[in-house]
Amino acid sequence: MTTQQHGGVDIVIAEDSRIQAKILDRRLTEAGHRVRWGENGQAALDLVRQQRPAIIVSDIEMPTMTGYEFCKAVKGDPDLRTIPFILLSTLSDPLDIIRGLDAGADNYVTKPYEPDYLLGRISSLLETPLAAEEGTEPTIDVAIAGQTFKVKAGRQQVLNLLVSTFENAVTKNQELIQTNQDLATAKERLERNNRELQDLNDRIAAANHQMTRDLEAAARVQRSLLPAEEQLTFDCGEVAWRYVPCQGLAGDFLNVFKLDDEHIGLFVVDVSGHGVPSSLLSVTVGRFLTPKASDSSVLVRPGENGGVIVVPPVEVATELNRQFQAEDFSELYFTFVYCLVNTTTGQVRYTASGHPPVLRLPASGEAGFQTLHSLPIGFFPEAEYEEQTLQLEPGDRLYLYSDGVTEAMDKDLQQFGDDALVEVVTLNRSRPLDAGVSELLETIQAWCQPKGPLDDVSILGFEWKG
Amino acid sequence: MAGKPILTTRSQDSCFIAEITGPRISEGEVVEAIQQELTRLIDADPAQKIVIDFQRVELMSSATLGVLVRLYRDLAENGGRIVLCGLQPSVRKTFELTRLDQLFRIETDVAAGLARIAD
Repeated sequence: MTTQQHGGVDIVIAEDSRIQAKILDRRLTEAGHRVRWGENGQAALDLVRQQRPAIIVSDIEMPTMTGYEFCKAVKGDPDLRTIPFILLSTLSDPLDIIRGLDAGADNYVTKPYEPDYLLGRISSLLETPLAAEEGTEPTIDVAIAGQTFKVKAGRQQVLNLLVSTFENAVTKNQELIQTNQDLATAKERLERNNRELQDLNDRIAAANHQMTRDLEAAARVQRSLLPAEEQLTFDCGEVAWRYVPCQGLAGDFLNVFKLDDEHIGLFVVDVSGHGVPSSLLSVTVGRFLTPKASDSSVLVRPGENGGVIVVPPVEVATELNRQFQAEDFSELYFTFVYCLVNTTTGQVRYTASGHPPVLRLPASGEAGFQTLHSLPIGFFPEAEYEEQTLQLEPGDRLYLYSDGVTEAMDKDLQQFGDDALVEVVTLNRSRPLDAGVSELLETIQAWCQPKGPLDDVSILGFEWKG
Repeated sequence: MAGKPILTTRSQDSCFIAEITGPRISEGEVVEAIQQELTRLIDADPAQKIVIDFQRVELMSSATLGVLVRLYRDLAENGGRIVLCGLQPSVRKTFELTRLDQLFRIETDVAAGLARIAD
């Protein structure tokens, strides 16, 4: 007797896992069925005997009484054997089919099961009720896996079971195909991602390469702001210089130019900060500090008959300050020291804008700083600059340098200082200018060990021969 | 230097006292940290009165001067004030060389700085 109301039927389930039983219960209840649960075959058989269900769904591996034993007990009972019996199996072994047949199961549903598939099996079993004479046929011989089994089962039962087994196999096959397709898609995606990653890596490498080349090119441009040779000879005297940027690109630069038949100009520029921004400003400033009379040069102006007019140092500083207000250059400013030497008279006009003073070392006598206190270039548009004059005697030396010289620090943060500068240049007075400048640089580099200078170091020496 | 603040600020008598804690203001990131902190103070009140205590500073990079001048200009435009104090000789020399000792009010210590800023 089936109790069918509102499309739902009474179902007994046998399942030893409480969790799996709850899940199965919920699925069946949601579909409108009423569920009774036994935690093993025996408990479920008792429920079946208490009240005949419309269908039985049973796990196989259970303590006390397995699903096969439970099924056999139902199918062996003339009152119960027409109740459709579904075994939930993993179907991992072909012999499972024989065991199912032998037990008289009507249907296999493989675990893990799709809820819709299980509900579909239940519906189709309810639609094709088993005949009362089922299970009374004689024994069938079944050969499988090299063994012959004698199975006693009804034809419809055998048919149901085999069809369900086949359907299971088809479903599993479809799942496999789908899984394979998913795998192929995933593999494709992975390959695409790999290609994109490789592409990105290549682009980064290229960008890096480009950047390195750009920086090298920038460093070359910056070197063009320096004199071609470390040692230069003019009719009136010698020049020697050293320049060591603390990074690849520097804020410092220096140069010396013959401006006309009577003048040479020497200068050191120190742009605040380091690296790319500072070096960009230094290159820009360098374009204005050129000996070629042009609209941009602040050192010389075109004169009459193709000649040039040499601009006085104070005007050079004032003009630079007019052109390079820090507000317009990312708050970068620079300091500047400039000596304009009259090659006939040995008179030097000099200016310093926030820059360490020129050091003068007379041929005999004590070295002295030519101190001028002026604002750096770029802070205030209205800033005023000044220049002073000194007279060179034969053998006198002038040193222009950046604060990277005097503020070079040893490991205890002790600065190299003015006194050490005076001491080193004085000690090297009798040596050639170039050797003295070289010695000064080496002394500073030794002072800064082990880290080396933290600032650009620029030294420009001049010796007046007369 | 990691994690250690380079600038500590406290307020007193309606002024901010900003003490620079490092011995060396040379690396770009240190200068930038100081700039950010001081800019924050000005953003909060453009007419801020700030005393900057340099007593622990042994070396100051040129970029720091740029920051201070910018600060000076921003404050001056809005009626704020800045006083520097506790300059060690090497730092003081930088201010003299650049003539910025004429621009900034400079005092020996924080107490004198506070008195000066109240003028």
